[in-house]
Amino acid sequence: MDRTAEFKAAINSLLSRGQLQHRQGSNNARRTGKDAIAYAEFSHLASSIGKEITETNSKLQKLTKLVKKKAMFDDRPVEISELTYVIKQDLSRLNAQILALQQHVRATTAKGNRSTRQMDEHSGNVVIILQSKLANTSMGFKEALEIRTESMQATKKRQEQLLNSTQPQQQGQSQQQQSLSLPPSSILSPLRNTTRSPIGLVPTTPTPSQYPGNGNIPLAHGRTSPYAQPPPNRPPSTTAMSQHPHQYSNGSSDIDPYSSQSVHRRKGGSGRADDYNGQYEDDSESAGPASMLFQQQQHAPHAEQYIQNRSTAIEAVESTLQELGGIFQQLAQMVAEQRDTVQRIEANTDDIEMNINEAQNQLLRYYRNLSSDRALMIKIFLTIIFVFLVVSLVS
Amino acid sequence: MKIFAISVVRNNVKPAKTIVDEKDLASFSYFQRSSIGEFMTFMSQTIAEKTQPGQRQSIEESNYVGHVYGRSEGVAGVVITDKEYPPRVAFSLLNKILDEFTTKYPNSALWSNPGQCPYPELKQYIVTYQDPKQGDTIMKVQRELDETKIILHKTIESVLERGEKMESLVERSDVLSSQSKMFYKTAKKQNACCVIC
Repeated sequence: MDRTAEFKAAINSLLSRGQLQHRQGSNNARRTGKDAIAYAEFSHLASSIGKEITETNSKLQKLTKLVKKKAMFDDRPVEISELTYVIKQDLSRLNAQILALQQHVRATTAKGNRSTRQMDEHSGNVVIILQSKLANTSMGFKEALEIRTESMQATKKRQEQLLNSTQPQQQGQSQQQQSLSLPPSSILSPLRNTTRSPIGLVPTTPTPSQYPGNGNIPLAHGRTSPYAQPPPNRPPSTTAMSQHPHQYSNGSSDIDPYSSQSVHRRKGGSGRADDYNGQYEDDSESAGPASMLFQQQQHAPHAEQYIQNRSTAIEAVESTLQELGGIFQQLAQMVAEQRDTVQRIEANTDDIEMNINEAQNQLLRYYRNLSSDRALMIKIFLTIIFVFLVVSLVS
Repeated sequence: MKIFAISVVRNNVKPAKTIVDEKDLASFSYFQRSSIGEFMTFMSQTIAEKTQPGQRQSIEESNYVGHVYGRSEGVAGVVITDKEYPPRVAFSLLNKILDEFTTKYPNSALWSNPGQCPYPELKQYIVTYQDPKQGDTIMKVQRELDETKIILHKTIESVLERGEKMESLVERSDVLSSQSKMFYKTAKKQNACCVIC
């Protein structure tokens, strides 16, 4: 991008305006001198930014070309990730520079006066042009990342099909992947041992982003950390740019689980550690668009589990209470049933008492009768009469 | 089921720093205690580092399980237990501890100096919560309810016995009643009719 023509035009206009103002007064001349210097700085900065943008564009084109390649095993994740990283850095740097430039422009416009308005407008336009160019670059970057994601998924599916359908060919595949082989146990740090805790794809050890020759696992982990950091460092840019950093930061972190998974899948071809393959598969299902969301979705089941445990315990308490209530009611019912029995018993005992009282009365009367004199006297009298009768009958 | 260590770790700095901790390593032999204690401190710090605020995790390691709950203020509580300890009780304990700790020392500047944040209640907690049924409220309620249920079962059995006894009492009172009636009739007959014989 050659902006020297613009630069020359600007200088010419400035000079002409400067000459005009020079006629008006020395004051203005001094000011235009300063403005000229300021404008020179500005255009210098603008040209450097433009150059960097072109460089970034070319890198982006290389990346796009790499990404569009559809070979399953020829995929060069190292280069792609390197390029992605570099482009991202460039974009963030350019963003910062453009922002600085814009602030510079604003400062100079604040200081400037009416006569340099056209120059300020021109500076503003230049800044806007640079921003739009950067926006285009970042759009292209985002598209490249999307293509990369899709190809990742496609390769994963194909890998899956291959591995599932052709078990005997595992040997051949593992031989092909010798260059990429590494003991997968390095993933299984003791902190991610048996429970599927959400540590998952979060880097267990914060390794710096190294790029060893074969795309092995520390690389996969190291990838997440640099990608985690640039988004917060990205300064809040103007509205035209504000959406892009978020979009492609999400996109890039979206890449990482998938790329790390593709790396793991190739190793998994040797048939080892199918459990963590399954683990990553499950994680990939829930990975979502960003690693943060993935973590949250892993948080949620765990927190849900805890909450469910609590609710289960409380439900158990509640059911125990209900049982207790039922038991009390049963108790009351049984006692109520026994009330009838008790009443029968009471009635019976009343009868018994009455009977015995009467009987006792009878016996008392009998005894009284027996022990009274009158009965005795009657009996003696009757006996004597009986004896007289017998004697009279005999004689 | 036992707790080996409780600790409050500050995890908004990396590496995480332990603010207070309390260990109960009486179950290990004397010579292993120091190394196991160090291991537990290290484990607490590591898993507290890995925990996001507002997240609960249970991590299994050889034959210990570490339960960690990260608070949003930047501290996390870690409880290291054996595998049988119910995680729910561990997390409710963590909740309690962290609530108390943050209400006691809400100023996060204090956390950088562990000497300023003494928390002696941890000792009591680790003792009471050794038996999860003792410490946890829900489990205490459950336990008392179970005891009440047992008592009620016994009560019902005794009520059934009472019923049986009542039945026998009814029969016997019936028998007695008829007997007394006979007695009465006999006495009456005795009295009314044959005066002599």
